[in-house]
Amino acid sequence: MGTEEPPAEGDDGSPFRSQSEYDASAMDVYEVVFSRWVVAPLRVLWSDYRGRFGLLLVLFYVLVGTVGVVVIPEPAVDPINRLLSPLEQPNLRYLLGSDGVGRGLLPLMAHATPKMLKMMLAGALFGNSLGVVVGLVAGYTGGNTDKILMTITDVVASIPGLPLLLILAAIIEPRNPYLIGVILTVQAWAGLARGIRSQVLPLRNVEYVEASRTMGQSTSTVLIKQVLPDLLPLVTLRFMSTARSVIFASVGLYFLGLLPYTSANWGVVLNSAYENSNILASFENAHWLLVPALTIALLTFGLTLLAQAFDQVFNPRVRARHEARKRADVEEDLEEDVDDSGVSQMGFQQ
Amino acid sequence: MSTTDTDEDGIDNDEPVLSMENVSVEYQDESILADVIPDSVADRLGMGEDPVHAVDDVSLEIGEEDVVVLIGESGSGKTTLGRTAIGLQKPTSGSVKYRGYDIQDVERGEHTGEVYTEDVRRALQIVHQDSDAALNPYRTIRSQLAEPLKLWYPDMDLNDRQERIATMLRTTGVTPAEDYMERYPHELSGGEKQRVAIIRAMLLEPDLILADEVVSALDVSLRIEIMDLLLDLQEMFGTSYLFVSHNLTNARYIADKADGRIAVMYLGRIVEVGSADEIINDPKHPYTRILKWASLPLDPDDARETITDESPMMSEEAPDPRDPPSGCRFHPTCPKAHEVCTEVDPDLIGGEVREHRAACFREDSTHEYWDSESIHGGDREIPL
Amino acid sequence: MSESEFATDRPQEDRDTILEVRDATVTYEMSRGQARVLNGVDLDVYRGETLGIVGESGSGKSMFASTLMDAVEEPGLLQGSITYYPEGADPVEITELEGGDTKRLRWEEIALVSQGAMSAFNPTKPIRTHFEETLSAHNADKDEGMDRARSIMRDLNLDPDDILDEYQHELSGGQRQRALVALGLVLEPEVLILDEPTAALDLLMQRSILRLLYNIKEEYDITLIVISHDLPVVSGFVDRLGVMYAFEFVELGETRDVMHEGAHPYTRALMRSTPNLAMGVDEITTIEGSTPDPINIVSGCSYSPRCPVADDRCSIEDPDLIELEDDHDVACFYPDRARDELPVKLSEDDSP
Repeated sequence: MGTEEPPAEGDDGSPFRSQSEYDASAMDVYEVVFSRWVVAPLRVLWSDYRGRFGLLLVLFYVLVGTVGVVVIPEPAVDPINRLLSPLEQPNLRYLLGSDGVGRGLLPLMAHATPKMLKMMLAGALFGNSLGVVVGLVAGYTGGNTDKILMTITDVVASIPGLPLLLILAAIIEPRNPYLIGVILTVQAWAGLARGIRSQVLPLRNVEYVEASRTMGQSTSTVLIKQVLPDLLPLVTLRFMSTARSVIFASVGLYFLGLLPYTSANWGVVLNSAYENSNILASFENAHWLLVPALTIALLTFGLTLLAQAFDQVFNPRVRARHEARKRADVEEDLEEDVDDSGVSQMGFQQ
Repeated sequence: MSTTDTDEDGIDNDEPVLSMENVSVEYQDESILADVIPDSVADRLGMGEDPVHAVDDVSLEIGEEDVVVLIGESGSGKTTLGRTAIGLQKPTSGSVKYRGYDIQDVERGEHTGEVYTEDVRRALQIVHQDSDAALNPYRTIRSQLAEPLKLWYPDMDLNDRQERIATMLRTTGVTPAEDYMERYPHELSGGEKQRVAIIRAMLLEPDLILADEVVSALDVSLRIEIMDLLLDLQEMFGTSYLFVSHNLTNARYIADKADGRIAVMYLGRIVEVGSADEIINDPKHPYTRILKWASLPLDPDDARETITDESPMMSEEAPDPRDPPSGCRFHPTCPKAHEVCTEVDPDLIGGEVREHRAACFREDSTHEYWDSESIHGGDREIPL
Repeated sequence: MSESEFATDRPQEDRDTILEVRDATVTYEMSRGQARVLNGVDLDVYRGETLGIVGESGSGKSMFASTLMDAVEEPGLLQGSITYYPEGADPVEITELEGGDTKRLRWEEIALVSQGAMSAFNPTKPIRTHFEETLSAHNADKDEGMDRARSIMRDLNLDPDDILDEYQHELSGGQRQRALVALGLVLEPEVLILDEPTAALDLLMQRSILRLLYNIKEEYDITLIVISHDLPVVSGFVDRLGVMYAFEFVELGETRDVMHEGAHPYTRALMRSTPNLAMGVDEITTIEGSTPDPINIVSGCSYSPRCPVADDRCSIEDPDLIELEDDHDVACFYPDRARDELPVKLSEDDSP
């Protein structure tokens, strides 16, 4: 691979004076951006069985929460149709049976979904964003900033969780699901901040980050463009697990009666079922308990699978293979060039 | 001469591109515990070890399209000096001047109107030794090379950037350029990665690049290629280089081809400086002579002699940069050390700034060195 | 020039084989295809000699070292035979050893000091522990072993009282490398393999290590195999030199013969591209082309794409490693062309 002659030069003899051969339009740019940020990740997720299932499951819930609530009727008390078993009545309302006061279980689950999703989203976004920012700044800046931030983090993390929630719930009396989500994760960011910081510390002086600094990039740009990509697997994982913990925490709080009663919550339905279906004596009304339990379990499962699959998305080796496939579709003559240039794609110790 | 476009907006005075005057760099090697406790308490308890004198009173000038090779072993301070030169390390004392402007002053905003921190930052770049770690593994080559352009040439649009990146890739032999631009670093070989790292620095059209052991990790046949590439790029862009190397043969190759200088460092001091020819064929300082002796020849019989011959070094252990020897730092190892060498530390002797100089009393025929007793029981020869 | 002490100056009959490698091949299944990282290697290692193996990264030399210890990691597959001939005992087929026998072979008979002295020791344990654990893992007498260790360390210019209680980060690069060598020698193996013993070491330390290794070589009754990508390192040190390219040996012979009368174009190209103080800077050249891909095995001679003296035959037929002169094997159809057209200058006294 010798040094090639620079291409046709302009007046000054510098290779930079030549006319631009490229003529990408705005559409082309959007296409590339879309392909890189949407298509390629989706492809990676789809190719992994976990990603596939996780994606489908989560999308299913989103579908129910958006379209489903329009199609499926609102839950209504109906003493005549109490404790129906699933499929006993062939209509949408009672597809999954009904509870002790005649409300269809499917409508109950479906109409609680938007709220649950909002809670989860708010909680996961809040908890993680704050955690990432604190962890990044502390880990990268070091010095006194680091010490102060970590002290605050550790203090927040060591506040007893349940009493804190009790107090906050009592004072604020939240109704808005977004607000509930935030309150539920008021401590979650602390653990993530610690984790992020540990991962940032060795990156502070790694060569490519230093090169970025030397180039003159501002600290915020360095953090976002150079440091953050390495953290994305951790962040995504935490995002999913925080979302999961929001489900359980909210369920728990409703169970304990700390949040104002509403039937639009899977946990509340679960609680009623537990108390009133006589489940310990007979399985006759088991469906009342099982439906909300499964609803919770399936979403949790979907999120977990998705989190695992996301790890692949951020792995450049996997990304490269998927992007390469697309490249190969488009330009076959590059195949030969790749071989000639003798790129070593192994990581062998020779 | 330089063909860059910075001549129009760059500073144009008679000052050297970079000049370091009496630069010293000291830093603390803190124990973990001392790191956790507030400094005042740590000091009171006498924790925190002695400072490491990485660089001690070094002066060096680098001109336009110049090449200076810093050669030395680990602990010599060459890397620290290099990093100080390009502003990644603050000197503990002395000044580092970019085209006559002290970098620290510029950072404090003292020369607004003439020079700003950004100008300095852009003019001084680095290429690292480890090409694997020099590139962000999560980003494509194109996006990484677009960064400096986006930062410093905001008027360039996507197509212009694409064009320039492709041109640079072709110039350095990384072809087909379009294919490589979309790749991730793990899809490139070591030599290709190193080229990309060089391109990244060159895109800024800097005045000085610190090449920190850039060929040490590469295979032998690649080393020459990369060094030749750097010299070609120097002709194209007019950049100066500050090379750091621990290998005398590499240092000699590039200094010779570029008509540059070699500066030999030992324990934070420059002990000899001169052209490649002077350093290799007429080494004056005993340390330089020993380095040359230790550079293994290719001829098997010569090489065997070097291995089996008695070492001219008086001590095989490297001294501690935290506690350097008194007087001339080389005296414990120097086969020609005399009493006076344990008391006084010689400066570079032998001529003007650009001439062949060595920091050894033996260069001064009238020095009291010649009346002083040998500390090793008689001078030894260094077989060359 | 001094009187040569090269072991190969001894008459041929004195040399017997300690390791016999026949058709050693290592393959990996990758998504792109099958990768062959060692390609049908035949080699004899003689008892008591010092053999050097030189090659660039991607040539297969480290993989070759692993095969000698049957240490090819999964999912790599080793085929072929590697026979070890211990003194006064039955020959052992290394590839057929299992479990405890393999463990016994490794370190007690054949030891490996691998490259990267930087991270070979456990950072949380003092050096002493490594020796003790090695001794007990092989059921060796601890006191005797530690005495031996101390004596070896002294031979390597290390102060045992100083070094044994330190942690690896408290040692300098040179000290670490020497401590590793001592660890390799503590069970008195018959064969010691050194993979890049001087990489990442300073100039003066390199020479020191080579000097110390040379002493070991002279004083201990041991067979040494030194692997390096740096020709000058092995040139003065080894008795025989093997050059590897594209996962096989392309030249093998006495060091002086290989260096002065190199017959393979790659060998000569390698020497011409190694910067050396004796050569003028303009006499140093690069090797055109790029390193071979283990998956896309080139047909014919693997060096032919880059070879300046190759012709059509070279891209069709793959030359075997055959004896060219006495004790000098080369895998090339045109060794004379290589010698004529690729001048090599090793020292100032040489004429190219």
